[in-house]
Amino acid sequence: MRNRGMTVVSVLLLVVGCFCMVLGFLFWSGELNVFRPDIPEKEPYCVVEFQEAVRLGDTYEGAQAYEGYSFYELHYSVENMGDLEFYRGLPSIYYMGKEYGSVYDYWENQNTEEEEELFSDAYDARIPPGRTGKATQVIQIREGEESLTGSYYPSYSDEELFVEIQIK
Amino acid sequence: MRCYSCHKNFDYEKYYGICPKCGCFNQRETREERHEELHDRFGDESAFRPVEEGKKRRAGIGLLIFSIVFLMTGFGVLVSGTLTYSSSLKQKELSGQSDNALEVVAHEEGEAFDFQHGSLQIMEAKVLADQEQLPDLADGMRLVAVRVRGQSNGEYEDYNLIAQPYLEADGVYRRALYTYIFEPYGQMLGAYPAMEESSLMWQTSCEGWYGFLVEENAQTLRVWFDEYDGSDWDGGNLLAGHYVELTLEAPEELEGGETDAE
Repeated sequence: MRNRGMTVVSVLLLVVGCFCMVLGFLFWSGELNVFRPDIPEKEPYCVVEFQEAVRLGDTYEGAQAYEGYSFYELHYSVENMGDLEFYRGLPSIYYMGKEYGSVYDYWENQNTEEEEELFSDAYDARIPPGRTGKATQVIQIREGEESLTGSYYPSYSDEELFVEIQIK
Repeated sequence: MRCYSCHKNFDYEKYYGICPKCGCFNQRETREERHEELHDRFGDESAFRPVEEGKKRRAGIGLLIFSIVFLMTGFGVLVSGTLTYSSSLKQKELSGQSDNALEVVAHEEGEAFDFQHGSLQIMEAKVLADQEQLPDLADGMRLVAVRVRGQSNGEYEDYNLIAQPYLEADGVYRRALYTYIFEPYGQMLGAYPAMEESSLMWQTSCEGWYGFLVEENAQTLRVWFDEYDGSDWDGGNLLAGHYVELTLEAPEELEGGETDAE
């Protein structure tokens, strides 16, 4: 009976020892991240500032603007205040005008030929961390709009920022 | 006691060990247990105890001692692992708490500057080809190359990685072409060898070219090299951005024309 008691205690000690060993190796190897929540992962944080709007007219690269709309080229400066490169030149901006349908950032391109360009992966502009880049975007804006509001996400979180665009 | 066969509880003394339910005879104690009981009853602690019992006790004590030692070892591993991990976290926290503004350092062409655990030198930049030489280039773009010379301690460590540089043209940043994509064109157009991010990881010096795409009408050009502390697999913390203003030299004759590089 006494042996049984000692055996039970020994087994318990072995189990606890194994548990401590495994935990210790996990901490050593850095696989256990329970104490890391305060250290954020790297991410970009892009703040967009509107510079100017240039009216391009009724056509752009072979595409015809919708009736009542014109093509505009919007110029921005984009400051990446994060610690990771932003993989594009400009965050996706959702535009809002006086009414729904004031802005279109897509259209049917009459130039249907799509040739694969050499070094196509290297064309995309990026914003390195800690630097400010320039970006442009062409959109269709309904005639008569004087200003727009653009909303975008500067980082990977749900934080949303806004930028005011003056057309005239 | 409980019957070994049908598990019915019955009075051993009353039924002489015979289960009243199934009739199985239950022997209450082994020979060793009866021997032990006699010793306990008459208080004899001598060597008359069975030899096997002594062995069992020694084995039990040995197992207990081993378990205690194992537990202490496991506890030691846990403590040391925790200390190692927390010190590495602290080191990363201190690095991350530095000033958020990027340190930007300007250099001249040909100037050797300290970079990570070695040095870099931006030697020259030249136009390799435009759409005339490479028809598949996008309209208005041209291929340029920047020659770089670097030195390091030659250790195969993350701090000797060279992050892919950028070319800034009138405020637009583009990354260098991947080495495996640029190298065949560079070799053909007179910019060989191509630099890799690991060029300084197993040699103390290197020299090579980076390829970039840039607009034909770009006015100001800067090549940027970002310096990291190598504290993590992705380069770690960004320490500074080094840039050099470039003046492009176009060769007198852009050789190339039709290629079979594709």
